[in-house]
Amino acid sequence: MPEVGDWNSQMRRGLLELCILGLLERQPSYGYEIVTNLAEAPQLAAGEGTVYPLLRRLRRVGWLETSWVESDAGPPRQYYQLSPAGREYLEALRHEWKGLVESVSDYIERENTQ
Amino acid sequence: MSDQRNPLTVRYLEQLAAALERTLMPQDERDAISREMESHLAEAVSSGARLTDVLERLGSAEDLARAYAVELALNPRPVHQASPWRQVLAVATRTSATLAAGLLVVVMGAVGVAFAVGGVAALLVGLIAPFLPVDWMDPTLRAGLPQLVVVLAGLALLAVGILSIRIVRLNARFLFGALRRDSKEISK
Repeated sequence: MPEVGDWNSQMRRGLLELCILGLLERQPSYGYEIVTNLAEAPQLAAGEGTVYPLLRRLRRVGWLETSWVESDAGPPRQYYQLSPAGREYLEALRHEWKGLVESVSDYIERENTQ
Repeated sequence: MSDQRNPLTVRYLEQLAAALERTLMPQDERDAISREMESHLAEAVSSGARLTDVLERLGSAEDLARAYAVELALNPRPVHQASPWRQVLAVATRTSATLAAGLLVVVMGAVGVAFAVGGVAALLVGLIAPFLPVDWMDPTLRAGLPQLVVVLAGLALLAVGILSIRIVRLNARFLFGALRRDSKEISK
């Protein structure tokens, strides 16, 4: 099978952002929990070294808000949650994603029938 | 107070702090990253994972610091979170400024054209009246002023008119440029 690693990693990057925001829409969560949750979707290949920096960026641009909460398990946890702007951004991303999937599916379907 | 953390954790966090320091990240950002990584390692270990495995998945401190630096360098346009009152004030200020600038363009434009036309008329009167033996070119039309004064006044009026028109053009170009930028900003 041909190598699609590079193309796949580019695509995953954007999708990971969508998945993280979608995950946090349900409930606030801390880094380790987010990483563990994303590990259930191996296709995303969302390792810690990718997820944490991405969380930091999403926070910096204002899509996420954070707060430190004391934990019995050890050091405090940094909880992430969607900001109101992040919620709007997530909606826009979802809309974009649906349109993209439909367009690409239609295109591939057309190509196959030709 | 003694440090109860695993020496591997301590060493990794020190390496990470040093690697982050080599990036251009601000201190508070670096501190938050180190704190979060410490929390991550503790959570993973308390969930039963082996520290060496967790560290291996994280990658080298150098690579992790680089990943942070790259992500933060990809920082897109920040979200504007101005209060509604500030937004209304900004729109009102911008609208008033645009209206004032538009009014200035109209008034200055009219004044410029009037001065230019008046200047040309005065020049014509001053220059050709003596050669045209018709009543409407009578010296009384020049308000009793000498021919030279009328010519000079015509030149002055024309100069002021041309200057006004040039200012209006510059102002209009600036105004339309600002409106175009605004509409692009709004449509983003």
